[in-house]
Amino acid sequence: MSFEIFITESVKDKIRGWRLSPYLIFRIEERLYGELADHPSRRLQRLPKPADILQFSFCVEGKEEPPLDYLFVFDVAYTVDEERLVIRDCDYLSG
Amino acid sequence: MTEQLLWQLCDQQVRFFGTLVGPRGEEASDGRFVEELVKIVPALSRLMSSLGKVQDVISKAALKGRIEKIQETGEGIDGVLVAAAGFLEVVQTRCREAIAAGYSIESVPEIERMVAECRALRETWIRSWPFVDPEMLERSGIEFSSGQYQSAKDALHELRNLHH
Repeated sequence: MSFEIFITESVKDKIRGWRLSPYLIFRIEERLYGELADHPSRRLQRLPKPADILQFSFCVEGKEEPPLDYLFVFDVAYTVDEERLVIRDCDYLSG
Repeated sequence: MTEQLLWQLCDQQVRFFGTLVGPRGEEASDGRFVEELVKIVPALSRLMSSLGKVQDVISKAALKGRIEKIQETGEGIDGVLVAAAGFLEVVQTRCREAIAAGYSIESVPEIERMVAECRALRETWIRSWPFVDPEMLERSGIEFSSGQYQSAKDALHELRNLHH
């Protein structure tokens, strides 16, 4: 069973503000649906503080010249019925 | 890396606070503090150099997927920077007291620079590291409850097409 994944408007606005290349957005989608949606319990790490949240993180190499490395971090929660996932925040590091 | 920095910091703190206590346990004179300060400034300088490098080293490790606990690591480094800044501020205050008492301390500009550098390092760290943001989590929780959400796939397709 593959989980549905949702993002809130604030998260979408945040990603829009990053102005990532289409390639990087594609890679994000690929990781969310190729890994997280299929096996959330294996890929999520529980953080007890500063908020009780689950975290999904992964690294991607960009296609710039010279290429940059990216670390994306998604803060995720299950819906009450535990059948869907909601991305409640995200952030990234690059260099 | 964090543990090594903490050890260095603790070592410097112990050495520094040793300079504040006289042979019978009473507070050391300004004169003794000034004498001892000369000895610990080079060590403080080395500590600052390590703190300056740690952000780069940790960030590079994270970008290569070698940091498993991202939030915990970020908090650990932040804790070292907070402790170092607090310690340097104590040294700075003690210098000011000695100067007010009539002593001349050559390394004051260096200590002032280290205090400012340590604060700047922390600001950079807080700004750049992907820390959890509890306010954003709460806002998103409210948005989800009020239906302000969409499929991640649709949203990402939309964002990808913005650049085409």
